Amino acid sequence: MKSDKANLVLSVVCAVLCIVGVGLALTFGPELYDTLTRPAFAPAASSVTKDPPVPLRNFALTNQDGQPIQLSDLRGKTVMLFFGYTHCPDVCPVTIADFVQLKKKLGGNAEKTVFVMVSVDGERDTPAVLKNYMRSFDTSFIALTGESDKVRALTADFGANFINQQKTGTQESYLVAHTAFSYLIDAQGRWRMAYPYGMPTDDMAKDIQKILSEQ
Amino acid sequence: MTIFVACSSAQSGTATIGKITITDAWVRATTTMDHGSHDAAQSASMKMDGPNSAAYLTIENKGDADVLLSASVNGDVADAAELHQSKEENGMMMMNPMPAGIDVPANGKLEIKPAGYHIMLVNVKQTLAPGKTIKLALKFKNNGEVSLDVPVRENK
Repeated sequence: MKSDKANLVLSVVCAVLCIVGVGLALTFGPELYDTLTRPAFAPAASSVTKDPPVPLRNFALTNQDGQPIQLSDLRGKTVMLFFGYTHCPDVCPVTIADFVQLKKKLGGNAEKTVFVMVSVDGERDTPAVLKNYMRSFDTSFIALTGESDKVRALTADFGANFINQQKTGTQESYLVAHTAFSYLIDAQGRWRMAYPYGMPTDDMAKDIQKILSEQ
Repeated sequence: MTIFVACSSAQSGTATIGKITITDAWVRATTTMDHGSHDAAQSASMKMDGPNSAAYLTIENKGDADVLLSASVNGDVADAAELHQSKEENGMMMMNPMPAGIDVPANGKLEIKPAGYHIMLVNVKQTLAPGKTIKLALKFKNNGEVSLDVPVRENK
């Protein structure tokens, strides 16, 4: 019967594949096993495009000069925003240093972009502390602080989060765990992109130039 | 047991102890608050908390596996130097203390670099300005202790 013949062909094909498989396993087994089980290198950072753009709720926080700042005050400029804090030993200063590089790469368009750090540590990050902190990066960068619930509402709008870790290890001083993404907001106050920590500044510069060219 | 204590190397940011060579050491610059803006009552009511910073370096090991047990700095630089790891967990960047130390692979390299391991300086007591150096001591389980001069590098 036809089906028997088909079964026979299938069996032969299976047998051949099996032999080839065993051969491959014997030849490349250790390497193959290694490839399958070895923890993969962290994948290259990839950005998230918000399409359609997400209109953001307005927020009101306080800048490093003690002045109230609303998101609506920043209309007309693209905004690179991230959540951090001044006692952050590692990831935050690297992110702001990336913003400094990014600003340089924007060339003439740098003036159309605002860089913002929103503090997730309102307890210690007073306007005076923030002002002092930004002196070592770029005094044109905006640092915002405010009541914890206001900041928490803003992080939630980006699907971000933060939590006090309560210890450094040996000292009383606490650390804050937080989402380490940067967010690109367009001149209409709409969320356009999310970038994981370590995103190449060239990629972010390209996106900002593109969004600025739409206007 | 012999304890080797290497003198700080002539070249800033490098040192050798036993089978271990340390290169490219640097510490992130900080600014300290202008305390003139705080009134006495405010200063007395809150425990003044200095900024934190972090030191980074590369450890090359030409011998058997070792463990970087701890790091330390003088009390006039910071309250403590702690081994930490920045690690993303549940979408958040966590700083995890490494009280048992960090493994240094045999005949290999351990890079202590941003967004990975770092030596956190807790409550920095002085302005770490570019051009300055600080003394950092490192303690290895097998290769012993070494002290090196670590240059301050700008934030950006």
